[in-house]
Amino acid sequence: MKAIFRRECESDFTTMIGYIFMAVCMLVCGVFFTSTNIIGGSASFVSVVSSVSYALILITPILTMRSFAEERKSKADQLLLTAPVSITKIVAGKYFSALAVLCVTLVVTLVFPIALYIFGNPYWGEIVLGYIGMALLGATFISIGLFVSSVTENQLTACIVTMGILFLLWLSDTLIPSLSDNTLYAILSALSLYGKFSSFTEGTLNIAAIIYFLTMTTLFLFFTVKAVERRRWSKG
Amino acid sequence: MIEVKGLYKTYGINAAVRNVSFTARKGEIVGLGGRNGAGKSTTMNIIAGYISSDEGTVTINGHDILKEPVEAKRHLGYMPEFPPLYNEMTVYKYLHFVCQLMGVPKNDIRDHLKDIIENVGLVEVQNRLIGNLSKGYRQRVGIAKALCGNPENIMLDEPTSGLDPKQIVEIRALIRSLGKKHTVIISSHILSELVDICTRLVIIDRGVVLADDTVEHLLSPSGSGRVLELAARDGEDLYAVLANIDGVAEVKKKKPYNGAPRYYITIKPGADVAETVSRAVAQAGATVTLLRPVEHSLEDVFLELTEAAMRKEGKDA
Repeated sequence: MKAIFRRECESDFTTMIGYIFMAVCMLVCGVFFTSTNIIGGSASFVSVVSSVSYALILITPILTMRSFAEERKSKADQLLLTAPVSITKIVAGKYFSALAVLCVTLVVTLVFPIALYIFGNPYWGEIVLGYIGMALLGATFISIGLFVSSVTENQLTACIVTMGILFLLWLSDTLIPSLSDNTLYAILSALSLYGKFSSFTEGTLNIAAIIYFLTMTTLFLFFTVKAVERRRWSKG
Repeated sequence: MIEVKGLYKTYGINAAVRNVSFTARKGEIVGLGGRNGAGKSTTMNIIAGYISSDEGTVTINGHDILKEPVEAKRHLGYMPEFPPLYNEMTVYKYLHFVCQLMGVPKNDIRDHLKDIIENVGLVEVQNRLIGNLSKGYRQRVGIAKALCGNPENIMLDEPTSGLDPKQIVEIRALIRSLGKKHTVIISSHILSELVDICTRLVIIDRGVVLADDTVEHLLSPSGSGRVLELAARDGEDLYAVLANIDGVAEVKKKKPYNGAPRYYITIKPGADVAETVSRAVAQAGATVTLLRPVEHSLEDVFLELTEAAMRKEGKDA
């Protein structure tokens, strides 16, 4: 798994994917930091955290689209699937490499709260919770993206479908308050990723939300393993 | 050792592989021969655990590919028809990665790779990006990939595809040397190549094994009977004369040779009829213009086998 993790990380930074991901994330952070904190004169980091969480809908698929889809198309997946490595380890290696890129990016964005600390008086609890929230939300998005990539054969399709799913999840959050049907309300509330994420931006450490994100991540990684296994039995 | 028993694989309504069974033992170079689309690559992909079969089992060094996939794959180096390469990696880094996947101890990787890179002829390009390599070099990287970890069993799908004549000779020599210590399975639609390299052949057509035998036996005259080609001018029709000779199993009339009637005489195993035939032809008042053994090529064997299989299928239907 370590070898796959290292190869995937190197691949992210020998191709442009890793840099694009980091650059877009920094750009979003920078824009909202400038408008809210510098021009607006606020010491609160919540709006930057919220904006990055929405930007993750657009940029996480870039990070995960290639992982399985591209290799399947070029048949490079034959290397991993005929090597003495279990599918769980293959999925884990790819997942943790994408997660590493996300974490490195989040670490780089720490430059903004550090600037806040130098020139202002920020509330660190809020910032730490915001980062935990972003990491958990990104980790879940990556697992969803990996799953979509494992069931498609074209990286562009994988990217668009992942974006679509993440967008729908976000959209369902905006629908929840206006729903009158109790069943639909319950289902969408249970699926609501941003609903759980909001507890972090509100400054509370919600253990249930952490468990929720970790469970969703594990579930989608499990689906990914099963999807890759299923390919072997394909009749197509 | 690789043991394949009763493999079936269907895609939709098309059967890609039907009841394929064979065994490749240590020290053997087994060739899977057959036309394009015969089921060779499907069989190899099933053996390597890339796709599953609908029925049948594959065991590699006693490990079932479905029940103990990791252990089975540890004993197999596989180069698919299109080598699975990462274009953004250098040759050395790629092979290093494959060694890690195959579980080569960290301290041994450097020496192990040095040997492989020298053997396969990748020294000059080892630090180049795979994406910039020619087809021939990519193929070599694929072969090197199969050797990483020094597995007991090596399986190469169309190993000389895309190589130039010099490279083909080198790679064939490499495969022959591998055959001394490993179990090797190679596939090719170029049957003469298999004859040149392999000790045993498994001929597959439309997903069915038509023959599984040593190269010598498949090509031996006793296999389907040694054949003499005879052309004789003047004289009467020689069909009856030839058919009555002791030791002659069958006589077939062929197209004339330089205007002289021509016959294919199938000889019974162990018989030597050349002298008798020439005497009989002279007694019949004819003059021999051609008398030579018909060379039995693997292509002939293949055609005979496929025709026989089609006739059998026609009868069964």
